Amino acid sequence: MSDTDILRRRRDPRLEWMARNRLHPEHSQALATLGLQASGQEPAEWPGPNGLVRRNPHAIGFIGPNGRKRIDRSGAQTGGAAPAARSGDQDKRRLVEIETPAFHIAVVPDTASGRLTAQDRDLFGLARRLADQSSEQQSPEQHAHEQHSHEQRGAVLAVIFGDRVPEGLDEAGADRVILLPVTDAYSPEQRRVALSALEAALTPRHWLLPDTALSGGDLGRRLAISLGERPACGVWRVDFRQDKPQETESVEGAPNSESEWLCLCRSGSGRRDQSRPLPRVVLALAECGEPVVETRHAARLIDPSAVLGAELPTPLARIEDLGAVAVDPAAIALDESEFILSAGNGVRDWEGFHLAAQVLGATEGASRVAVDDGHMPRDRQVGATGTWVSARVYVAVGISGAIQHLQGIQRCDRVVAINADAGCDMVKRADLSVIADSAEVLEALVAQVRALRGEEIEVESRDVA
Amino acid sequence: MSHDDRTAHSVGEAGNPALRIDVLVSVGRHGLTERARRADLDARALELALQLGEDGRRLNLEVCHAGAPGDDTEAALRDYLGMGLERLNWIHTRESSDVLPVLRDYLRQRDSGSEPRLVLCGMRAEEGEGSGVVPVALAEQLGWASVPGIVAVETVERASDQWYAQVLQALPRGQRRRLRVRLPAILGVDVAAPTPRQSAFGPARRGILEPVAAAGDLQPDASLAAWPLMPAKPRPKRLKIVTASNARDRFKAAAAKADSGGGKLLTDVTPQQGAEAIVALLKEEGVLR
Repeated sequence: MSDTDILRRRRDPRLEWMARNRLHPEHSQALATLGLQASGQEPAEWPGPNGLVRRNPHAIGFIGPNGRKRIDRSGAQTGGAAPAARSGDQDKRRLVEIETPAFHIAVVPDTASGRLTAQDRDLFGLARRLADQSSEQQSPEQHAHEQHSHEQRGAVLAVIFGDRVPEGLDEAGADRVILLPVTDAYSPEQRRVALSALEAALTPRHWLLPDTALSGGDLGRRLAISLGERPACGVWRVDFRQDKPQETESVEGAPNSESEWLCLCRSGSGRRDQSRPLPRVVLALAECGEPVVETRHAARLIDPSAVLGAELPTPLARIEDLGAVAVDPAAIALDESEFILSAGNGVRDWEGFHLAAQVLGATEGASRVAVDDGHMPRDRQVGATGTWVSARVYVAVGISGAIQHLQGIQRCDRVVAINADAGCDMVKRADLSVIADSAEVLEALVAQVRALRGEEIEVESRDVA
Repeated sequence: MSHDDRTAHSVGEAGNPALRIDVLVSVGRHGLTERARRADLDARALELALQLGEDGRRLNLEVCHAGAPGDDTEAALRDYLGMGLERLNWIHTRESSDVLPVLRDYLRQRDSGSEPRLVLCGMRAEEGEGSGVVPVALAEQLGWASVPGIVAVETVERASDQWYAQVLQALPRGQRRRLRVRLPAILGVDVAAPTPRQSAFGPARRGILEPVAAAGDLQPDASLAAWPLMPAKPRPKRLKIVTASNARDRFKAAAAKADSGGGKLLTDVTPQQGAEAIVALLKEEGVLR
């Protein structure tokens, strides 16, 4: 029988006091004697003799930043001083797999530069609602039986042009993914023919496309016209019909009026709405649905040749893409630009900054201070009082990141900070921060980009030779 | 593309037949006062067409509107005349008619064959459904090409018995793309196209609104009759939904500062190393051209 067992039977208040007092010189020894050293050994809560839950407040909590003990009563932390891997860090989302879908809902996302846009995610959220509609109709008891409802569920099919699967399709809510072998160049006719082939093979219940001017909107209109449909454009709300649609309601020339869903379409000017049954081709605005957050989906790849046959038919190519045209970056409006080099108070070498913007092909921006000091024109100011930009890459040179400026760059995808101060707010916001003298970094950047361009030109000339 | 590039191709081809352009215009409505006026996108389309004629090219320009007669409409159509037109064809329809077959028959009737032919119109109408389907549907029914988002028509030239137009298309983020389109084609004009010229009062009064009879019978627009347009409801603002199961996470979400957190921090690096990292990121994003 060891000492600890005896001590357990007989309480030693003094030893317990020493164990509680972290500042006591013999605190650690007392802990060791009481056997409390390893965290979580003593249960933090246990059922008492009367069935009441007893808690030991000394066994829970952690030492806060100011050295005082804190107890988090939110339930995120139970027993033990060291917060182990938090449950929030793990992926708690339910994985949903649909083996044999009853039908398909096809989504053709825009995927700007290989990434899903926010509108694409909204669209997938809407598609999920449409696909899960049969389980929505069920009673709650049936709904609990996932297996049962799976059989009536549809699958969301993501239709991607090209050969690269964008990231995050499983999180967005796609059950199936099909890659259609179409060139990256602008080829709406070819894409429309590919979609028509898919329509013939799978006949999705609905086609969902983002109502954007060039890619989704145009393609969707072409597809709808080729299907002999009148597409619903500018859809911003879709509701499940509570009352069953009546037979008499069906109108000549208004196909699919028996759809169980009603949609609201915004007109071109934004001043009119049109409520109509959801047609097969739906062109939806941003925020048409809630993006999927609670579940993950299989996003299983389908072999296009198995579905569509060996080769896609080639249409008469009336439109030929001659490639992008070099646009003067300074002429692009700041809120439209995709690449902004922005200067702040930390910039001393203004000529170097302008040269860097020119060499990189970036639109110039500025913080309020740089504008107030007269280094940059007022229309280049980024931030709450200037322009709210939505660049894909925003390079902040010598900008500390006032909250008004950070508001202005909220919608930027990637932020790069070049700054001398590692503790400023811009560095906290940035995806990549370089702590160095900004003038030297810009100079090195210019040199490297020039070397890169030079190499590319050399490679091209060698190819020609 | 600058003006000089354009003229280099087109001027001096005097032996070529005139370029046939139809501009389809509609009645717009002022956003605040709701007063009838020229539609902005259609006016831009007309501006593009008029500018094509200024290069010294022979132009056979016709402007057409299909719609029900009315005082409002007439005032709006005179705005187009004030841009420097002598006449404007007005196909009289009824309030409820479908303009698609009317326009299709109109365009088909005036097809003369060999000359190069362009149809310009705004991408979307401001009145009515404004879904932007009309150009696409017209092109499909006529078997022509349809291209949306046009900001400039650069050249129109012949290559092996076919007419081609070289056009610029507006991409998002201020970018442009050059396309070669086989004619005849229906081009949808984007907001980024040149601003339309001012409408002058005198020419607007003098111009002739020429009534044109519709080719076939007027067909009612069945779907518009079944699903009438109503005043737009304000769209609800999306709320930030926090799906936290405990108070701590909810509080953190409510009080969080906007920091992306997972940023890469390069301290104690030479400017060269820093620049390398930045170039790598720019390349990955594809903004370095």
